[in-house]
Amino acid sequence: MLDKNLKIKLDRYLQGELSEQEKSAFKKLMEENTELREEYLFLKDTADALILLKRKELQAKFDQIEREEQQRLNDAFVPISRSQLPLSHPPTTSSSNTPKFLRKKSALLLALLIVIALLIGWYIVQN
Amino acid sequence: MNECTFQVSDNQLFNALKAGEEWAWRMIYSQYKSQVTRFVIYHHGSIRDGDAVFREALMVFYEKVNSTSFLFNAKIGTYLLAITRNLWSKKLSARGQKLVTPRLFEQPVDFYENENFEVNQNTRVSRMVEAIENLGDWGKDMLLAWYFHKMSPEKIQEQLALENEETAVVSKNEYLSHLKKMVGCRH
Repeated sequence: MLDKNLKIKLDRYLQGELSEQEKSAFKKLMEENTELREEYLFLKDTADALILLKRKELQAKFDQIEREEQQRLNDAFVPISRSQLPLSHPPTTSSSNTPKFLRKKSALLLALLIVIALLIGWYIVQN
Repeated sequence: MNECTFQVSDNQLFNALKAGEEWAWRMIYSQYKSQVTRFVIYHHGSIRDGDAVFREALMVFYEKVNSTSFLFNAKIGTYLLAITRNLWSKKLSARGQKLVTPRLFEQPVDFYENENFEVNQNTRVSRMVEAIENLGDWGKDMLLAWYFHKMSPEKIQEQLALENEETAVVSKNEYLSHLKKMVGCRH
């Protein structure tokens, strides 16, 4: 069991409260006292783990800030419908101007062509 | 209230950040994100690199703010850029590149120049993270107060509304021994 006074001194060392002189004396003591050194390593790992936990917490906070910022930016831009565009505005894509039934027809045609190609292929393989 | 409509001094912002005020983070984000990402992009980085380094720089700055040895004697932007410079220079050298930049910042510019911000992430520490999470909020807050915020027993007593300073010490020791058992400590 580590001496109570050493524990207090170790806490002060970790809090950065020791003077340079006290610090080097304490480091020397740690080299000599295995129990003290082990306690120090344990507390050092604890401190590192706490930093990692805090970083995880902060990452979540930053994600939230960025999400809200993105939302704010999205809200700042009001979407414009096609009818609100000026007449001289060029069409956005050529396909969007094609009537729906024609788009459906070309898909059917493409499917038919694929089926024919497959049948021809099958016929060639068979013969 | 929109946080961008009022002016705050760096000192107020620093104190708010230290106290964990939510608005301080938002303000730092809106004021310094572009500055930091611009620095990274200007020095061979992408926007993604800039965003990642900015987050990392904020975390390191927060840790610095909470350390007892931290002396707030420059602008927040100066600290953030000095940390960014350090972090980005390390990332660039890992990619086989070198950060060449003139000394653009106000003095003292050499903060953290040779400092390593990396945190030990070995198996022991990972087990410790898990164990601390299993201690519950109260235990976690107690250990954070001691070893992250590095508060004095007096401050911990006040912050966590404890009976006296001795309770803070006893409680901390109890959580530590519990933690030792949980990680099967062989330190």
